[in-house]
Amino acid sequence: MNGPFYDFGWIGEEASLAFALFIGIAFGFFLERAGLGSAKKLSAQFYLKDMTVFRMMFTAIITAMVGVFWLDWFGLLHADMIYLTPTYVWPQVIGGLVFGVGFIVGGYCPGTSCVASATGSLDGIMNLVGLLLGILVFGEVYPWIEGFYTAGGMGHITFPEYFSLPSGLMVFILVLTALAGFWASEWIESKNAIK
Amino acid sequence: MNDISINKRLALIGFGIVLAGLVMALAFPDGINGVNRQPQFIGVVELAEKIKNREKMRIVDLRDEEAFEEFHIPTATNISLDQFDPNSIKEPTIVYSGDDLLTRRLWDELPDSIRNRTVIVYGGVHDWFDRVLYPKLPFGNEIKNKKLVNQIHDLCQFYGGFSDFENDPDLMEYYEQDLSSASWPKVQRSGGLIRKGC
Amino acid sequence: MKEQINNPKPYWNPYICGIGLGLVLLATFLVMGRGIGASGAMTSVVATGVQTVSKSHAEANTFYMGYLGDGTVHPLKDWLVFEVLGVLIGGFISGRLAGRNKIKIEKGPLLSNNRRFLFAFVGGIIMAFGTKLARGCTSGQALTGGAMMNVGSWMFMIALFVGAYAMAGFVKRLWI
Repeated sequence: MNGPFYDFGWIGEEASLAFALFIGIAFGFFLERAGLGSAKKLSAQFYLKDMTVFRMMFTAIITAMVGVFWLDWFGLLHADMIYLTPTYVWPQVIGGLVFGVGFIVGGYCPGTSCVASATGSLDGIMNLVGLLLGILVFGEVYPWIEGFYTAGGMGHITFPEYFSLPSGLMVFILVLTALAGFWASEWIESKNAIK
Repeated sequence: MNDISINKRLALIGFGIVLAGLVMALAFPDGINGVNRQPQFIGVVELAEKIKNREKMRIVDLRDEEAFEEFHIPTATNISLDQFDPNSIKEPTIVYSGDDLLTRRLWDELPDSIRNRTVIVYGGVHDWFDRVLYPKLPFGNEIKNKKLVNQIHDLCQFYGGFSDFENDPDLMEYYEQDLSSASWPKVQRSGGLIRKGC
Repeated sequence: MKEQINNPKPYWNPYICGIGLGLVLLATFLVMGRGIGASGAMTSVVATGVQTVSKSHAEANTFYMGYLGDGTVHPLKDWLVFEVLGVLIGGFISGRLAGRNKIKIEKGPLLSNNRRFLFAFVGGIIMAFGTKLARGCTSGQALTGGAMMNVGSWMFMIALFVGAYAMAGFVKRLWI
């Protein structure tokens, strides 16, 4: 039996929705456990006082990355069948900048605002309302910005393909970078704590 | 203090796993026992040409009977994947499915000795429809490979389809790719209730 | 062991939580062949809302149509919508177990409640614009795409941190 199970038809639609609920519960649980349901903790990342966001995010990324590599290597999961969001350089860079600004102003990102709302943060609920309204605004102006939305298209492309490196090597480089980043984050945090 | 030693231990374990991954990836790029080895593909145009020339070959449709009766590639026989016995592949066999799902499942289960007697139709029925029966072909002076365009157009008429002509030389990219080093096609599947994007 | 009553329990080690989240993501890849997300579910809700108000208006817009599908299934019967429902439940369970579930407003000490609401609201609007422009949020792009080594996702992630750090100095009063 190989993954992705859903694509090969090993599990049906209803089961996949039940699985979605289960995955969501685990996702929300871990976010809250690490403290990402708190706007103060999230924003402290950007004043270099508490690097929890960076640590948790990159630990999750490298865990899943290494997991995909090994499952693929053992033939248990066809990594090339996993959905990739296509790359569009300009909207994604500008979107990232805009998102970052919104993140520090509002104090949450979409996933964490859900967690914050569930734990009773009124500002989290306010943020969620803003998000829904913002999506509506985007949807309404979409016909005018459609050209920009598809600017700089590169299709479905990953780092190993882009640099033509074996994926094992790329994973190794990224994990090393992340570990160095963790070490730096510990250092920055300890420095800011002494001040 | 205790917390820090846990973090260091985690980092060390992580590094070990990744280093092992690096070594394994470089030593066995196709995965354990070559599980990720890419099969030998045949393009739909080449296949169509061979069928037209009445070359002797065994073509197997892995889909269920209903799909087979609705449409199948000429001269193919229908053995659905559940009933397909890999050990029956004695002579070189060309297999196809709707897109790449059933052929991929078959390929995963095939023993290595039988794998090199198996040829997989790149893109299956999906590409047969889009690239042979109802292809989009370029016109204009910029086209380098006029011969190939004419060949596809002839094949399309031979099998009773029709071709669309558009002024876009990039349309030939699909036909010009080298299938000897190709990996599994990326098929955009539609239908079902699951939207995959965010 | 001295148990303090009414005080929430401390947060877990972020690396342990990160590994947990990474395994959740990996399970999603293995079972579903897709990643997790959050903003997609909100877009489904908005698109369904627009469709209810004005069907023709929604159908004229390719952005909404991407989330409404071909009409054979209800647009809210979507993988991400169920997943985000789970996020709400999971966050509530964890907060409950740690004693962190109470009505609160998180803000810097110098900020009034109404201004915090205003900024949370405005921040949400700005963020929504960014997330839709980039085709995903921190979950759908940064985490999922980051793990798949997707080029666009890493560009989004770097831009996100650049944007937030650049802006942080201007809105210091909100938090410190």
